[in-house]
Amino acid sequence: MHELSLAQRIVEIVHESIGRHAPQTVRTISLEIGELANVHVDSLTFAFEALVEGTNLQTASLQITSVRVQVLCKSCGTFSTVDGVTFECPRCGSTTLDVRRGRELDITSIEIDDYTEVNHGNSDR
Amino acid sequence: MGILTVERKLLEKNDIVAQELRGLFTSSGMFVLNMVSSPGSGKTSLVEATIKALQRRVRIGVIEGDVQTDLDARRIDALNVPVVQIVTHGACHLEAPLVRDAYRQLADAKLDILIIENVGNLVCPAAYDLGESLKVVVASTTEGDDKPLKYPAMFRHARVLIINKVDLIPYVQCSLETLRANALAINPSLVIFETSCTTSQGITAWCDWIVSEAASHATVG
Repeated sequence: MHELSLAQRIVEIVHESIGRHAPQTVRTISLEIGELANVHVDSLTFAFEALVEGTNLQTASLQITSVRVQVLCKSCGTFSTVDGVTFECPRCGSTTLDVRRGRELDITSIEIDDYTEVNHGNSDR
Repeated sequence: MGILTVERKLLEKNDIVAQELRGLFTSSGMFVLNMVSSPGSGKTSLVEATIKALQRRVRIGVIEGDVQTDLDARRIDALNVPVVQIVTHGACHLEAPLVRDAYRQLADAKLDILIIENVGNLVCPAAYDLGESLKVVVASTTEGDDKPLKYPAMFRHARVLIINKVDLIPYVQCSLETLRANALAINPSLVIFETSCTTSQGITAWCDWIVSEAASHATVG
């Protein structure tokens, strides 16, 4: 259960990105999470909501895009998506594959309003 | 309304420290194993058996990670090798900054091989790079043969699979053949050892492999 520490990192990165005391309302935080990243999306959302309650980020919601595991075959160069858990090239059957996508744990963008709609007293959290 | 493009990794802080550690480990010619498994697979017993087999040949040290207690570190300390216990107080995995702090206490030991025994958990430790040379996943026969399918990320990230407690095969619902096939479907390049810390089966082969890998690692590094 490392979703709580990941949620804390999301809060830190958002603060660093918008400026800690910026008079802005954060609407959406977009994330890309790979299927191999071992993150339970509901737990991450729950942890995030619990962390930001009563803070200047309580208006924010997480928009999470799941990233499928994609591999490049080292034998024939075919790019493919892994279905299930069998890592095998669908074209030549080789198992020598480079995982190119599916490990992401990234914040990609933050959607903000240009003004503060709600003035929260404890925004230092 | 505006969109800020951010493009930052959630684990960037961990990854930066892990890279720093990897540089430190490589420059000192040290071979570092990050041992991961579910709780009760026999990791600590394997570490003990590995130390007993190798401590006359190489300088070996251990960082132990546990949620509570220093019981594992005491077991290792009894073998007279340098050991540091990290107690995570609830956290389900080790992170690179914790390992960096622990390693400071071992830096004078001039180790050839460092074993980091992670917290028993097949999920979270897969996501955290500790600067290790490679991850070793331990799966014991008492856990059944389907663990690789249930926890694919861990088996995909590991270089070595140790199938432990093979002496119990007659008594448990576990096929070695199925366990191997499941693991190799996820990670065909896994190096697999079968061990028992009770009968010592496979320990010599595993330890010889470590020494040979450590030697080539030191040459490359």
